[in-house]
Amino acid sequence: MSIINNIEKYVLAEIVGVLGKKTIDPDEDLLEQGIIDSLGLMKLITFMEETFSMKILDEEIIPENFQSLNSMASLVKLQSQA
Amino acid sequence: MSDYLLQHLLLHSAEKKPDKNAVLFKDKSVTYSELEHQSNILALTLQQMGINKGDRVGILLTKSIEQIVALFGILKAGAIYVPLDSTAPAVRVNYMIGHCGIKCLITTAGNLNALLSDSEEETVVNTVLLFGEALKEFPHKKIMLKSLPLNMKTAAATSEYLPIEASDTSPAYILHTSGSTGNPKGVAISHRNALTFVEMAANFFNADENDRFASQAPLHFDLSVFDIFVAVKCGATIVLLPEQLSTFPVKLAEYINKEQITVWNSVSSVLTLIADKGMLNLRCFDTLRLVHFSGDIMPVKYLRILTRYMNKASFYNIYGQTEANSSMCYPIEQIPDDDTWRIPVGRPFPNFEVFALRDNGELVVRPEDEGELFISSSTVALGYWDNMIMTNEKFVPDPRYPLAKKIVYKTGDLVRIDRNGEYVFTGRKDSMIKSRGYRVELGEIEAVLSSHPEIAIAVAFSVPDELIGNRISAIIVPTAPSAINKVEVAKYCATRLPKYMIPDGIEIRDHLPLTSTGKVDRKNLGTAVSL
Repeated sequence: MSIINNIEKYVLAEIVGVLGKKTIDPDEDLLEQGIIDSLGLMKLITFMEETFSMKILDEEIIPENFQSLNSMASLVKLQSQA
Repeated sequence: MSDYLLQHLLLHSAEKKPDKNAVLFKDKSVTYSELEHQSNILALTLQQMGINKGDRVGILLTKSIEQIVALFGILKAGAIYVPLDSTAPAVRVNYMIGHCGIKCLITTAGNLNALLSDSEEETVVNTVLLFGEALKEFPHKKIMLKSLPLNMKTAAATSEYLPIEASDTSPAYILHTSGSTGNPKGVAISHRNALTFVEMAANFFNADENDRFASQAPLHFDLSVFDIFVAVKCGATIVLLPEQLSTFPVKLAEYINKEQITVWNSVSSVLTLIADKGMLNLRCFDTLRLVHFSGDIMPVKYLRILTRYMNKASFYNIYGQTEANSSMCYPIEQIPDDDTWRIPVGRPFPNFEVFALRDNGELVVRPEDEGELFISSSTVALGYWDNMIMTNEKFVPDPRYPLAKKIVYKTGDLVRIDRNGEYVFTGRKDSMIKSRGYRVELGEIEAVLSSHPEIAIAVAFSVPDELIGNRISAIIVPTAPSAINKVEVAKYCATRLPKYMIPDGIEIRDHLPLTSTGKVDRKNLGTAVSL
């Protein structure tokens, strides 16, 4: 499963409030819509760290890295290249 | 100049400091004279739309200068403002609209579309005032629609709004809190209730025109009363924090630093996030002079981090409820080494009296006594909107003076008095909990879960959490095996409950643990659900 599909699956299943949604557009703004709030973000970070064996640093917890599925996937890829 | 009604605070600051910045939001600002002028136009518009004294007007807007304009415009028109949570499900917003009899809704095209498209039934509001661009297509013929430009700086008022004769005991706003019966309760607060608190707080905390108040709490949360009205009373500046930034601790710390905030007032969980992940070492907090935290228990280890980096600020644990505003505070002086220290809620503010009664009706006086806290003050609200039964249960004649018509608020909070004479919170008489600073009636969650046709019985319970106070879990028993799955339950909740009330952990079982007397064994639920 691709990184994006993996995160999408998690957001759809676990970040509640995604009403009637079956898919999320990779560039859809999840922050503007309030889909990801502070508690959701913390759950998402734990999921990403465990699933992709990565450590998300405090300075990386910024809107630019969590705006959309694409930006989260970029963060994962960036770390795997480092 | 005396302030008899909340809008007088703005009028007087606009006269004294017309060119001072009243509200900042991102790169936008309004001065006091502009805020006065724009809210006058809004008041006139509302009156032209048929809004009269005492009518309820909903505000369905995210943080914005327009939100503050709307609030004062509604008050000037003699109406009652009802802030609505734009992230709450449409069913819940529609309930509040119906229950308060909201006659007009002030919103934007985006928020209105979201409300109407998510509504299962037709929304009951019949007049809408839109900020920003008018809708090109609007199929809802029954709703009267009017638009106001987003930037009203240059708009000239064609005539003045009609000043309203009003008593300071009239309701000024209605704030909703969780209700155990399955629907939120609307707390009706008068001008005098709010002004009593605002005047006291401005003096107590030495607020002045040089202050820059962070406005983090949403308008539907009662912390906003301090942020907005104390700032306006003093001619200070309100710096609105965009909702998105509240999610990111690093951004919150940066905002306090860059915006040169002097007064911060939030629930504890926002501050614990800042302490935990805000990278405070990168920031300078020299302008910050006052930090209020409230709502849930602040873990001492995070308080220690905050006081180390925000070392110019005085920290206060603030205690209160929407029904009586903030009534007590505890100033943080020395933080003990013991990480299990529970910060007291302290002593009452100057214009409050509090007392606690034991189950046998005697006053709590000794350190070993525990009792229910009562609050007496002219801040004690008028009651719950359109709910006399609940009002009479919680707003009761002072049990110490049964013959006088003196009403006190019965909090449901259990307290004791420590050896220094400070009140300490010990628990609740009912099943209300706090999560992320929000009051949550577990009964409201259970009522919603049980309303699902495939759910036979449901129990909601809390699991203590260091960062957010409590997490919520639920165990449900379906009407038939495999009748419903967890995702369906979560989605059902999301259509009826605000996010902070949706259980994090849901477990489906074929029966619930019972005590020997046949009741649900709540004590043994806590470890049952993995989060």
